[in-house]
Amino acid sequence: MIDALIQLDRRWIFLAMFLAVAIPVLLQPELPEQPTPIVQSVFDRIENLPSGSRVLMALDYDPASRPELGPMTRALTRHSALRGHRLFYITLWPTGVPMIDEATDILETEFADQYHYGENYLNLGYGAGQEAAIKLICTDLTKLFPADSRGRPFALWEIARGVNSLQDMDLTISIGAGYPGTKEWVQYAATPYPAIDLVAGVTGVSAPPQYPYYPQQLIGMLPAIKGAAEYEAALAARYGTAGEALPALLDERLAELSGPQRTRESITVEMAEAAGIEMAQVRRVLDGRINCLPRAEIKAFARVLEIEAEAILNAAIQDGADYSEDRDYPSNYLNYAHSDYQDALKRMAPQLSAHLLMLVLIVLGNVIFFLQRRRGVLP
Amino acid sequence: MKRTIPIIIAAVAGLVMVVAFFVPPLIDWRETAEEWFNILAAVAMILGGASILAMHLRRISDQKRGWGFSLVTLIAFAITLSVGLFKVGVPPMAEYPDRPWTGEYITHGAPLWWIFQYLIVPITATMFSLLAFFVASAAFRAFRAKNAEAVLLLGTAFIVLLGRSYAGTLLTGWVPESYAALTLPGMTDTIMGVFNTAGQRAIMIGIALGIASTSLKILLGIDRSYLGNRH
Repeated sequence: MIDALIQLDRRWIFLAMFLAVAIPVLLQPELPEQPTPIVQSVFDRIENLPSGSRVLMALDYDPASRPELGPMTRALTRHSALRGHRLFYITLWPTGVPMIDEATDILETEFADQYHYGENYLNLGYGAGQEAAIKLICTDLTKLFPADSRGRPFALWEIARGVNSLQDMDLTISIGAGYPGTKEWVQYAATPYPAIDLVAGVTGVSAPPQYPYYPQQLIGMLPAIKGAAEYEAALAARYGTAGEALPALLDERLAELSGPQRTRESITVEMAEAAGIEMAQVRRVLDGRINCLPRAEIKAFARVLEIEAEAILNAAIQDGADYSEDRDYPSNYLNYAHSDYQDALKRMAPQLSAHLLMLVLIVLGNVIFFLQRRRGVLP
Repeated sequence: MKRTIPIIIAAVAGLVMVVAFFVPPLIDWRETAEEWFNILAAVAMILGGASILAMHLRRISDQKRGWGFSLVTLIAFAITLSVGLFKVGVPPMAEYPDRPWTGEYITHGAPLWWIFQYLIVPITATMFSLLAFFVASAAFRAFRAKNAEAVLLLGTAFIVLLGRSYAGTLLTGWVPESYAALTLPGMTDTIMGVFNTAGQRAIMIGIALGIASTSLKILLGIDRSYLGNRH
């Protein structure tokens, strides 16, 4: 047995790692996360900024780190948009430009009603020069970015009014995978210019060197995919409601009403028309991505589904919606506790099994090592 | 002359940066130096491209082992460069429909976007993912408790690996709130926030002192290694 383990072909280890990651990816078990203080600091900072504050996001990473850093970029973008902040995107990595596009896609889809290019978000694209670029924009933003990524002069955009340098931003977010990255933002922006408030999101391997900067130079940090998962959990707790009562009720009524004359699809169209909303929005309600509805929408749905509006309201309340004191919700109030918006949380199960496998392999390796020693094979 | 002028440029630019940090009225000088740096950084990218071209062309002409890979590199380089530079397949901006080349070079659906999305993204993600397999293999074959230091390292790895996953919460979730520091996530936070921070600070201060001394040598023209081997 031991001899077999000593001679173990490493392809078996590769297979074990593949299965350890692939099985949870396919099964998608949900693991709860609690935000740690270092992550909560980032959340609180964005949450407590007054609506309309200027936030600069530096996405200094490429596709290799996208699986690890993409989820936190999305979560931070969503949170900033939910708070109504004005967003400026830049990258110091030439291959980082499409990372900005991924973030702005969220604003153009989930926040299409509130967010308009040049008014409350701007893509400044790639800036060459690594740390020198950071130093330059600390005193003059237009010297590095005279125009946005579309080639229009920076000063002509509405969002650019009153912005001369990085010091005019209310918060700078550095999401970095290496050089130039968070370390350079700390050394050349946050440290020499105390007016620059900096938070960061980093990869697992680059997280340990950033810890000495917290909490002085870095207000908070999202270390690796776990940091992103904790942030998503904080976002879900504040801007999401768990529960399946509303989707279950609507699904049940659709099943009861649908037949040869009135199909499920046609009833959904009726719901969209009655509420005056897009079909895509009704689908989001049906699959739970929206579960806090405006009262007007509840009444419209109730008419089409031939049930009491009270029943829909109660189901939404059961899921966690709050209609006390005449509270109402906007039409596009997304449920950030829905798994569609929890990319990082979904990856915590594969991470857990991969970590456990690593521990098993370390133990196994050491057992073999000590047995070999006992046999006198090793000194 | 070939040596003296670069040394003077380096010394003047470096001194301007140092002095401007302490003398705020000289901040304009510093900004000018930084702008020059950015221009040079952009030019360096062109030089880098030219260097890749020259190196691989040499490999192909010499028919060195693996020259086929050089050929693939050059073809990929040429295609990506021309597609991006000439904005192939990029529609003009909506505001200027009759002006070609006004669209964003990485417009959704354009060839450069396609290259990025379907070649660069999966290739780099694959390379990065391979790390997990090699780390697992290394954990089995190399992570041995050979001495006291290795035992400490192993213990730390165990705590952090468990503490940074749900296993830590699951295994030590029963520990009362007042003893949270003794849970696996609590111990992980202590390791990262205390031991790691102390070690990192020591390394960072050491590096900073090293950088300061090397920078002084460069500014004073003592260290000329940045000029190349011949100097």
